[in-house]
Amino acid sequence: MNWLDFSVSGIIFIGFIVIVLIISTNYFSNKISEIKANEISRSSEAYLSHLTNYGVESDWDIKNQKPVNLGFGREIYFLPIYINSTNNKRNYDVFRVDVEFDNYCERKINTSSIRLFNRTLKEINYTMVNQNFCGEYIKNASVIFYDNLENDKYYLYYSSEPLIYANYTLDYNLSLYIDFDFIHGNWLFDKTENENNGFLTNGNIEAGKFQNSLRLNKNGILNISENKKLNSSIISIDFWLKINEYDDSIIIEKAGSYGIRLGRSPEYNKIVGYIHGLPESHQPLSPSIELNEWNHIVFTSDGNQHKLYLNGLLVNTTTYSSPIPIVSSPLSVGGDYNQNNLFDGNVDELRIYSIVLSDEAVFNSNISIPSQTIKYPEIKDTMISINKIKNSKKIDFDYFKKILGNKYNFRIEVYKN
Amino acid sequence: MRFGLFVIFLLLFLLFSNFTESQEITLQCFVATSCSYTDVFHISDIEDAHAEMNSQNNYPYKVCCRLSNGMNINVAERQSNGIIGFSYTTNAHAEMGNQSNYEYRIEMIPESGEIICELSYSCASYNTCLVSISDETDAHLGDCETNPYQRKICCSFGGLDITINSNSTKVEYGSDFKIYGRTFKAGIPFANAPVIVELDGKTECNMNTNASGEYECHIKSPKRIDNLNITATVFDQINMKSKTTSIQVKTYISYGYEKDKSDVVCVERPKIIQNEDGTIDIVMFNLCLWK
Repeated sequence: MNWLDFSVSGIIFIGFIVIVLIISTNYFSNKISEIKANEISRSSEAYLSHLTNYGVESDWDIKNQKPVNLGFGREIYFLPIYINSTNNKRNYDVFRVDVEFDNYCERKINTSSIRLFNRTLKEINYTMVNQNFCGEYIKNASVIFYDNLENDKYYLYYSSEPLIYANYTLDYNLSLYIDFDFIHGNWLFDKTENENNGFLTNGNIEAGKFQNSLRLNKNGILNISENKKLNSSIISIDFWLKINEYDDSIIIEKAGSYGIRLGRSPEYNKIVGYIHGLPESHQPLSPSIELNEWNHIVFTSDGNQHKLYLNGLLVNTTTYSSPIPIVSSPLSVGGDYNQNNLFDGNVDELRIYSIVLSDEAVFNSNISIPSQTIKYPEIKDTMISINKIKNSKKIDFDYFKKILGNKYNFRIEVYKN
Repeated sequence: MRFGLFVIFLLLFLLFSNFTESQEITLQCFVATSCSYTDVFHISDIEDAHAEMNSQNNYPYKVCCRLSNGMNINVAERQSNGIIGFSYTTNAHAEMGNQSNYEYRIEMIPESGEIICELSYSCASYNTCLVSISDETDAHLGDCETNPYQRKICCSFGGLDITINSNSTKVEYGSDFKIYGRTFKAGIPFANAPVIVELDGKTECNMNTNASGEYECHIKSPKRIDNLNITATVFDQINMKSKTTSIQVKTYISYGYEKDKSDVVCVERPKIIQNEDGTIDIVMFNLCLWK
């Protein structure tokens, strides 16, 4: 081998080594990139799971604290409510659902977070009565809402997220609705937002036209204290009635204002609608009513035209100007408020409106069966809290980077697809 | 050879100029004793004339219209407005389209697009003069040349148009953004025109365009993550017409560093959210990570 051969073979060898090095460097560099990508990809999944969780403490934003562990998640609860209105022919109706938001005072449910939606997630106006609190957070309440009976499923959402208070107004003409299905102590609850709850003395609840009814036995009375919503110059009283004994008795009366009673002798077996000051000759009188049978009674008056309906049909109309007195007085069922003229029979599904019901509305009320409300078990989910994201902006990002291991920079973005 | 090139350039030029002309469609109307194009209505004389519908055949003078691209124009009767109204089907007095005293009213409807007509003392900024008219109602008519009345019914092809833009199609939660655009009537900027900008059906701005037909509306994004549907509607009160256009603006909320590197890994998951206004929605939670 001479020098020339040596040089050529040396160059070829060096070239070969260089090519091998380049290939292997590229290979290893790609491998390293791949490993890095896999590592960051795995980390991103871990970060994602971490950041969509609640954090520690889970309500760090509400307490205005720096979290020990960062998380933007928050518990949200929803209560499915099913309403069967198949045989309810009214244009709308009122629903009352008793809800335990936080029975053990652990969840810190914010009243502002409570929203009711129908199945298409359209917001439904509601109000709450009988509210009990755990400090500033809600414990339980009765949620009252109206709807046009086209929906059957509703969802009540609530969480500890502080939101903008919804300013709902319920503008309906139903002043009182007591179905007499449940008694709480001596109280029978009005299903409307007006809280015209009745206190029962010496009466009881027994099987009625629909579920239970109010049983009065000439010694009992239901008293509903003065409430402005019942002081109306226009009224409709709508209820089911079963008479056990004919007598000169009062069935429903708003003292000094309006009422319904049995006819005076010899017409004890008839129903009379009356307005205080309206001559007896102009008080609409029904045909005879059998004992121990359920009848649907509606009395409407605008102070000029007074109508009485029996089982969905108009049976008597009188016209006489006698404005309904607007007086501050209680409403009693089963006698007058002094417990005179006591009634022997049953009353069910009592509704009082501040409008005159149309003939069609009365007919529909007569053929309606009350809607059934079924409350399904509560469902818990995790949502992303806007409040936590907003509050995190007040804290130095390097702090969060540090508590997440100081390894990566990150950015979250929440948007709708 | 040079002559050949010249011919080719000339042909190309003619082709191009013809093409550009066809982009700008104009309306041409004239009064004649017969119509080769659309017969809109008839008048008894070229001045101080009564009018009749084109279904009648009592008057010698026809008001004829054509579009420069040869597109067909239909003349239709309508209950209100239109380009002109008549007291009867023949031997009629006339009134402007925006009046409402007469029962017989007509409109010109091209195969596509719109034709608008308005009362003006000069038709210089319109395509054509239809007829001249003695008053806004109870009026006689004349052509636009012989001895025209001061008032003229001026018409153009091209209806209302409105453009809509946003300074950003992706807006950070709770921040302001700007919606702006221009309005046109018959291709000309529509000055002082009423414009309403609505966000999801709720009015955000109710204003008039400036002299260049431009409008601008500043909106504070609602407190929710959403794809906002924003519409802008311009109204032509003279012709009782309106035109609406829309744009979508995304609202989002973010936290973290701005992404300044290319080797960023992003992951996202659908998540439930309750917006500050209480609405419930499904959104994407997107996380990006980098070293």
